[in-house]
Amino acid sequence: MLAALICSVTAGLAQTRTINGKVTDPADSTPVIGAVVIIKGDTGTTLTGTTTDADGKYSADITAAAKTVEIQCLGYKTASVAINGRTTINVSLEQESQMIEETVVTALGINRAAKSLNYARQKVDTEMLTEARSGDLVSSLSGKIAGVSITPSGVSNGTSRIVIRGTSSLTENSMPVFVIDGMIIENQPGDESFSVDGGSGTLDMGNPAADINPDDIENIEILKGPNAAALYGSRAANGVVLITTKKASNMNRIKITYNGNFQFERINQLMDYQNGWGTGENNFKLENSSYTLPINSDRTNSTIPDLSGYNDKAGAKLRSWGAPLWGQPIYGHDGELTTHIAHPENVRDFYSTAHRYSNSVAIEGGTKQNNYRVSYTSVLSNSVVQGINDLNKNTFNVRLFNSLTKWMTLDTKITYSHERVKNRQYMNGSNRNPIYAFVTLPRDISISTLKHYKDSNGNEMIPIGERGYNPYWNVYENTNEDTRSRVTGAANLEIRPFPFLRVSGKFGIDTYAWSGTEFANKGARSDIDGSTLNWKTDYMATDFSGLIMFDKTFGKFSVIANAGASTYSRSSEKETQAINSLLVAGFKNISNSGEYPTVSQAYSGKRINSVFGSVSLDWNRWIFLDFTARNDWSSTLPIDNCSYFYPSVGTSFIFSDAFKINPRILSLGKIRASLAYAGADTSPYRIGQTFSYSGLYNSQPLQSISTTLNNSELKPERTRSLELGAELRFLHNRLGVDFTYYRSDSYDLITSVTLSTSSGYSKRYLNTGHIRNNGFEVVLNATPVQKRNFTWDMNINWSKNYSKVLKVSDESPTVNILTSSNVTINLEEGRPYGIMRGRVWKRDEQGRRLVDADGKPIVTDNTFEMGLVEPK
Amino acid sequence: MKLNKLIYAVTGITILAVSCTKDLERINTNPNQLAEVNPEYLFNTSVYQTLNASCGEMKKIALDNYVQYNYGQTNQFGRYGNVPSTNSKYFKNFYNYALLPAHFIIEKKSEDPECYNKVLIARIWKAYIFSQVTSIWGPVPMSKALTGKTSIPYDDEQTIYRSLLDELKYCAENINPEGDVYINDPVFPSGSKSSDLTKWIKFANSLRLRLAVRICNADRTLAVQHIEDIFENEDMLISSNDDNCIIYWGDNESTRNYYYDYFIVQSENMDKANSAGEAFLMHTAPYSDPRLPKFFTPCTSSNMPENFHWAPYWGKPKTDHTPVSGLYDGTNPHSGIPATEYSLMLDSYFAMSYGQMIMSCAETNLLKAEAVHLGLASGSATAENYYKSGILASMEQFGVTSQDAITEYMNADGIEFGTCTDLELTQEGEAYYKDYLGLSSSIIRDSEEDPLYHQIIMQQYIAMFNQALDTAQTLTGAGHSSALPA
Repeated sequence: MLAALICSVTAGLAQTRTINGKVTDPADSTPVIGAVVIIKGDTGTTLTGTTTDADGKYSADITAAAKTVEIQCLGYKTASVAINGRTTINVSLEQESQMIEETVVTALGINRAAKSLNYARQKVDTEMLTEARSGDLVSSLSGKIAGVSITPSGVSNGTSRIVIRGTSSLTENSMPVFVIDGMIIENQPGDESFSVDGGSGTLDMGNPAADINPDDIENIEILKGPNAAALYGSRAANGVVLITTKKASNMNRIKITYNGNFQFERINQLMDYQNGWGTGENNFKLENSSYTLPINSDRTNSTIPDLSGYNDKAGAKLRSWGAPLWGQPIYGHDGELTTHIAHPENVRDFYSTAHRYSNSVAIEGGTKQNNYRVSYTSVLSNSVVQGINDLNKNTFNVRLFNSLTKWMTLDTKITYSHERVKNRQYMNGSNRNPIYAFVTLPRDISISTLKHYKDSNGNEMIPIGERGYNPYWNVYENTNEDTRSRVTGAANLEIRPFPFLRVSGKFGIDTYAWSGTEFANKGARSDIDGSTLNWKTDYMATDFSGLIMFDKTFGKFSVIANAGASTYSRSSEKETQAINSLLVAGFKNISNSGEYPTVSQAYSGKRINSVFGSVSLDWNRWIFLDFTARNDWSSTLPIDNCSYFYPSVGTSFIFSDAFKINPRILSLGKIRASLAYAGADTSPYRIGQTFSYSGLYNSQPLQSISTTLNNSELKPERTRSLELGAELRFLHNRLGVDFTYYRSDSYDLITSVTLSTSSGYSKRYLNTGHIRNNGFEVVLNATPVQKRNFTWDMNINWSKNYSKVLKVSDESPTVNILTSSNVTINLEEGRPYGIMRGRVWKRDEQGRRLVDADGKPIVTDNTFEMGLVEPK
Repeated sequence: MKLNKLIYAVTGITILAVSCTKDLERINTNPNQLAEVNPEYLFNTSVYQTLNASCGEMKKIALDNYVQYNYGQTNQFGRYGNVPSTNSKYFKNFYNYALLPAHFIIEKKSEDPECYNKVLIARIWKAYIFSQVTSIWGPVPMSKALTGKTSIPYDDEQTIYRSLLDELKYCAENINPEGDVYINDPVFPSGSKSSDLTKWIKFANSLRLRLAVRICNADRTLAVQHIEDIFENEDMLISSNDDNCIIYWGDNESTRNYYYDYFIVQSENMDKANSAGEAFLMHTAPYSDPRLPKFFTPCTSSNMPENFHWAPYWGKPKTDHTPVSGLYDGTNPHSGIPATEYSLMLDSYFAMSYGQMIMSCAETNLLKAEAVHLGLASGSATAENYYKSGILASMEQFGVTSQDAITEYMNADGIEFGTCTDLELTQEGEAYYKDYLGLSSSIIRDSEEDPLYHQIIMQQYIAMFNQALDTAQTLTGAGHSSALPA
């Protein structure tokens, strides 16, 4: 307070005067709008600042300490003018002869000038990822990139899906791969194993991309399909998310960064529930029906119905088909005498506030030649349902850059993460999903009553809903926990024998050990014996590659050429042990059973060997021509078909440079075109038929034949992608538009075709199917305000994808890919991907819903198209 | 020059390191499963899965309802009809799990001289399974089935039966008695457990007889052709209970008797499925069939009506609701009676490793009686003698040892071949032979179109106790609908 007073007094005593002037363009003396004007003192310290107005004029109050006026504006060289006692200083700026070229990371980590690219490319603002966080990295990309469709996870720690430019596979997932500092992270969704209607053991295990720590990300490039990612070969068909992590940025001093973040979540919207009818199975009866309302014979007053009788009724579905809630006396579900009334807030009361704490510390330092960055991040989060999805994740990241000699550098990165999740939520219609019970929670059960989920004998009480489980029993007694320790690393040794030549050798590794347990305590009404499942997965992926890069300019002509080879290997092994009954309640150990555990072991491995190369030709920095070629050999395909080659060609033309258009009017004008092919392999072990042993009969093994028929004649999948685009930037880049049209054809798709049972099999792998995705993307960006201390950037993405299934298979024009309840999802030739069909309301010619004599809507006899699974 | 050398060296090293296709086939060899076909194990699997498909859940839920040896269950087949997903599951059990392993042996080992007989046995077994499949679903895919094609045509029943008859004839005639055998045959094990080839031939011929008799009304010429051929060598039919085709459930959790799990392990399942069926009792109790104690427990419940005419056996009727038209005698003794209060099927039928009869000597003899009676062929004996042999074989099969009881039974009116039911035997008259609703009876009458045929079919019904699928076909199949005993 005192200091503030002294300062204001001092300011008041200092002599001030006003300086003004006008900033103009040298070409036509037109005013320069929005130029930043900085008044500097003796030592170059900034004293004050302003910006030019619509007439290019500025005005500032200065003191005697002011010595120079500095004018900054994009597209012009910065001007610095001594004041020398003048009160009016007009400045004619000098145009920047060459804009600073933005460089971007492209496939294989090769840096290229952004304007030379022949495919659509859009910058991801990585600062936004840490400032306005989402649950995970993939979700945080939502809405930021045109043509990228994100489906966030339905639960904390679940799988977020990302699809670029439409689904390109009939029955496999179409997610892009993630490449972090050169290492490929396969982003297998963790929700593939479960069905819509649940069953048991359906956990969403999340996807590996969720392990990427946003605090460590320097740059994200999204390569949208083969045109951008042709050099990634098999993995390019669905695109690539290319991530570069942070290196040390401040040289010769140590920098410590702390980033703390706290988020909370609450349920915002709930379904509307009726509050007129209470617990019961049928007939809206309260009394005189032992079926709908059991009467406990021990009660002295047997005329008062007793809802606690349901506790002994295995498989009871406590839904709201019972008596009206009229406040009549009744023994409640916990056996206490109460009145039969509604608890309208009982569903809301079940939920609380979820929290997510993220704390990150990074230390960096060193010299330009040798530097380091070490970071640690801790994430703690939970769910709106207390007791589930408790996450504790710790990530250590080390990034080292060493110049071993003047011509040899080593760039190393190692990330170790340790993640423990307690009680992942069981999904969808699983018996164990606590949320599912709430869909049909009877209105007369309060949350405080429902919390009496266990009786004195350890048995479940008040099982509710379609599946007959008390949600609190599911939360506290049907538990799960898993722990994953993961190391991802990459080392890049680069030799530069000549200024125009670089040779690099890369090694990448991604490995984790993941183990978990699923426990169901004994005593549940619907699973009286309980069970335990222990599982353990070991995963290892390695990538070795060598690359030679040639980059030389010959006058106005320059060449960038690359040639390389790589070998990528991946293996995983999962072991499980399960017991289907427990001896002692609550004891979470595989030995807690009188039976032998059932065990399983599943190994999976594949390798892809590759050679690849590219040539980029550049004439005078305004016309570019690119060629790429790659050949992969995949272990997953028959040896005669395991080799597949695919090229790409692309060009871009910077007509604004070619025709020397004034950058104030058109800062960048570019058109581009490319045609690319990509191939794709499949999962391991889909070629030859194999047999498993599934038990003992007649003192001999039972030899089972898989109901999926493999195919020894599989070929690689193919994708052909054409992309055309134009990029225009105006007013010194303050207004820009980027338009892209693409058409991608994926054919020979390796598809799991459903067979009729009489074929002997359920499914068969065939090269069939052809999907076309075409569409356009428009990106508009503008900077309406650009002041010294305030900039307003706007970005609008608009994209539209049209998918079309051109062929399903030779034998059938349709295939059903999912059936849930009475709705099917189908692929139909000539139609967009994913047609939903089901029985709908019957309507008349005017579209009005038809009703029966009781006023109930009538359902159609046959199935009709209901919509599409993909957004329009 | 220096640059060129460097480029060559690095390129060469990386390409060598990759060496493109080396090891790729090894890497894609599935380590979780074996690629070798073992006909012993596949045959073992096919036999077990056949048992599971036809004598497991489908028998309890559907087939038992149709034949009423026991009450069955009032679920989707009993009450609501056919649910497609359940039907698909049963179809899948036959095609994916029972037929495919047998088909695999045939497909993969037909050229292997060391598997000559094994392939023929697999073909007999496959024919047996298809005979079951077609008896359930009628026209089914057969000729192009099990090929993994995306489109599989159906065959009509005529084609299927012709093909099965020819197949069984071929296999029976071509088995080499000195040739290879399954080392551990689950169907016809000899003393050393290896395949008893003679029994396989007898089974193939007897099965052919069953199918030929089954189609006699649809294609008499074809039936006659095959039955005459079979009767030329009657010795090579199932001719004693030692020749019976019985397959046993396993002795562990994954292969044991489905009913053992349902009734013994899950002891809370005290539902109606093991209560004696009133319809079956109606065909046995009034005639004092000595096999009854081998089927059911005596009823000791006080709920059984006093002085009940079939005591100590009391069976549960298919419906215990009072009909709109009123009751035969004005009372409904079954209203609200728990299933466990009736005579129950013996626990031996629910034993862990219960031996399920597939085809018996009794059935073979009774089929011969039927064939001769219908004039399809003439054998070494008369229809009456085959009939008697069938009943005697059945008595032996179920362990009835009292010759007096057997004789008395076989001499009873209505049981003795060519006699009619004695309606004067009790004061109740016809009611003694009728169900509680008075709707159906086991009376053999002179006035019937063919009382002898009725007698033969009734004995087939009794002799094939707990062979629900075969009995269902016998009762409802071609030509027998007029003789429905239940």
